[in-house]
Amino acid sequence: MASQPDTISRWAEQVSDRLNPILVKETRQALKSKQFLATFAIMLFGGWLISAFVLMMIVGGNDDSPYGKYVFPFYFGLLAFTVMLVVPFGAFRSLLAERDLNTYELLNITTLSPQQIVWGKWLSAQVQTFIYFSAISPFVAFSYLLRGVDFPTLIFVLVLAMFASMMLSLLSLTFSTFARQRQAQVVLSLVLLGQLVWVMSVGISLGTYFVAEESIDFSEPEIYWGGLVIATYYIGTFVLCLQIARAQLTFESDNRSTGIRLSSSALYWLTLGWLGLGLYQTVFGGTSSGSTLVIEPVYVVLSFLGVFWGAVCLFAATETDGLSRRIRSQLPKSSLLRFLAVPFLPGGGRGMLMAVLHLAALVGLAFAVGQFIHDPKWAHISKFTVGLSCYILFYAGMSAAMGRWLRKATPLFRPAQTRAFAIVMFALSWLAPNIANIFRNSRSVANPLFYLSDPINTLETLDNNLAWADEVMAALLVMGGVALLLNIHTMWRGFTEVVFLREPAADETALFPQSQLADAPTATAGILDTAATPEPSTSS
Amino acid sequence: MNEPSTETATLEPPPSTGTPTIEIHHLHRFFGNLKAVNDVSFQVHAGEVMGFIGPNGAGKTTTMRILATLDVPTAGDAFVGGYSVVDKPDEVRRILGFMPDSFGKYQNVNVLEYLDFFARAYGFRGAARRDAIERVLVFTELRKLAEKPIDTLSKGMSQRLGLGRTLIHDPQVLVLDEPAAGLDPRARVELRELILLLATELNKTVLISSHILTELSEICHSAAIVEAGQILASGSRDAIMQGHRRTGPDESVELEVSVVGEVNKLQRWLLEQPHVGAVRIADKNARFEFTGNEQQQANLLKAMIAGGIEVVSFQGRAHSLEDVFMAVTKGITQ
Repeated sequence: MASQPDTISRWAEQVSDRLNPILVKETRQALKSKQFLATFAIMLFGGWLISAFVLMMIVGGNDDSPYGKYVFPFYFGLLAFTVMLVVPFGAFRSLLAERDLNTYELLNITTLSPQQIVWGKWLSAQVQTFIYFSAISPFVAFSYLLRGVDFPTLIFVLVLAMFASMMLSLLSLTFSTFARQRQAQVVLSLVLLGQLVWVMSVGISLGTYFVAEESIDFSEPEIYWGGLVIATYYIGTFVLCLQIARAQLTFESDNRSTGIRLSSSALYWLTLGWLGLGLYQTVFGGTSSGSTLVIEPVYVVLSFLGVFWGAVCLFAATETDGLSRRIRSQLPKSSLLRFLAVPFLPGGGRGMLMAVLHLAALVGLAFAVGQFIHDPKWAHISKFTVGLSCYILFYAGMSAAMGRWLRKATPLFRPAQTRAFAIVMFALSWLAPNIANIFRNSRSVANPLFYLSDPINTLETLDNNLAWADEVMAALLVMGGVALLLNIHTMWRGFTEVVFLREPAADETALFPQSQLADAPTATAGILDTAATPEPSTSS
Repeated sequence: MNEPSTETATLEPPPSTGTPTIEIHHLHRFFGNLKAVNDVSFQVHAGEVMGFIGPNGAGKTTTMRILATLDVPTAGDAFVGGYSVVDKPDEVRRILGFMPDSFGKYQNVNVLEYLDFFARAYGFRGAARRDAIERVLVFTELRKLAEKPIDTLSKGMSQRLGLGRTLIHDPQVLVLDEPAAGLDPRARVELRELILLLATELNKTVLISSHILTELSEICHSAAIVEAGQILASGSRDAIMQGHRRTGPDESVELEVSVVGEVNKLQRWLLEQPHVGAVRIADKNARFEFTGNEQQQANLLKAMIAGGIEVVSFQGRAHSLEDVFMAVTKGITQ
């Protein structure tokens, strides 16, 4: 009969077989690392020191004070230091170390997918978080016994800390996928460290505040609604970060785009869904009548959505056109599925199509909702959505067109450079009319068309300056229309390439001059009759 | 993968028929205006060891990285076991083991844990994983070092472990980038023996790059010489050397004769013979250029013996891979 240790060992091995290989390796490494042992020792030693100090206070004094309220922040500080700073920064370093130690390529040629690599790293960070939570739990229980700490609030604060740690670990991992050069690693390390210290400080302050004030009323239904909204955004953002990290670790010729586009689209519709639910509750839920509709929060939500979607569209529309052979070989067989997948597949034209479809849906929904909300204020919201959509179309469309022209001029021009260039141009055009006004000695130009490149000013004009609203709207429609016209051909080519399986043209596939290949023999079918057409260097 | 036999593996003639296990087909890889790989094509068959030779920056590593699916070609394609590296990278990874020139070492990991991790990463579970690790430990003779932290291993042992990692999923094809770099002579010989065993006994296809051409010439069935991204010569090792030694009926071969007694007599005698030129004497040997055919070579030897010269050996001086390399490359750097 097998001894008990043997049985446990066999059981542990069977369990480990089902786990992510990186999780197994990283956990083994972490538990042997000096950093883990040192952090664990600091945490325990700190906890014992605080406890000993408190016990001395209690023994020395004879008052009946609720010491728990004053002690908990110290324990929570120790926990926050480990799970909001040490663990996320460790996750960041862990992926960087793969590049530094030349092990990343070894990982890459195994059958592990980029997603498994990110998951493995993240899960191993969570194992450490779990160990630190276990280590601090006796001290937290001790603080509860000292009275002055509400149990639900205590649990709430600890759960918040755990979720914060989970998100920070993933954000750190995502961050590390961008740090490929040594200089970038140093800069990003410092930036991340600064951010983590700041988040940790905020976390400690919030935790202390919640426990000290006992301000959370768990009997209020709003807290659960609020929690649900936050939870959905948390999950959405988590998935988006995971997709970005996965994309960063994926080869250029693979599909880096679809995951990001789908998760961005999910966040977009999630926002519109919550906004719609909020409006429904306000208008039909009896909390407010149609005549007293408060539209300021709608502006705020739409503005944030506009910034988010503008960034997504800029990235999607400026990708190089043309699908790589690898992606083409993975397209669905059904033309209906290919039709539905078009906006989410890589390529600038398809990115623009995704932008247009989502913005059209936003404008359509705004006008449709206007049919149900009989409030004159809603007309402003409808105009606002049109103006916002035109701006997003204009900036994304012009950037995409500019990227194509620059790539034609010099094949070394990459999408990342297009985006950087577009952001600089956008910032300059935004600032330009305002800077011009400074030199006019307070004699600001009154014509709102002068401020057309400044979205905030112009969108305000749409709402407030009734005299100019139509002219401004017409100008915005022209801007959006021009951007659309400049991209319509690319969008059509992106559509036909997927739906009708059109072969990509040379200018869609190559980042190098075709003339360089002119002297070389054309690649023909290989020995196994596999098509050997030139590989496009698709980059996102 | 089987255990290695105790006998030293010998280089058998390479199999040259059937479908090639590696086929590189008009491969191009450009980095901006730099043509790192420019229309490279060659084939390697099962059980064959091919040496991939070229100066630094010739495009060897880029080609190998494309084969290992770590990079994609600008144009052309490469097939491993019939799978395109562009279209079917996952299938390629299952049947190919790549050993890069730098050995990546994890910290706080021992030999067993290192192999265990890569076995898991290739999808091995339970008994299959344990068997795979055991096979590799036996093959690379690292059993005794199983519990040793990998960052304390010597360079030779590290390379063995690297080879073990490459073999953990029992790949059909091995791509080894400078595996002998930095090794001491003993470790080099041992690694060479292991590579030969893989090809001759386990029928693996091996593409190996090295700067140590004498090493390569002892283990390679074939070779491809690359410079500035282009193949300058490729084919079986003997064909390359033969092709370089004699490219036409009038071209000379270098012959070497060792004699007992006075070598000056041989020199005088040789200078009187037809087809002989550029006679050089060294110790008991004479080297000379001979422009005749093989029958005339035989006649020369017959006449030499009949002329009273005590011949110990008479042979064509084989050109080494190094000679061929120096002759075909021009020292172009990109």
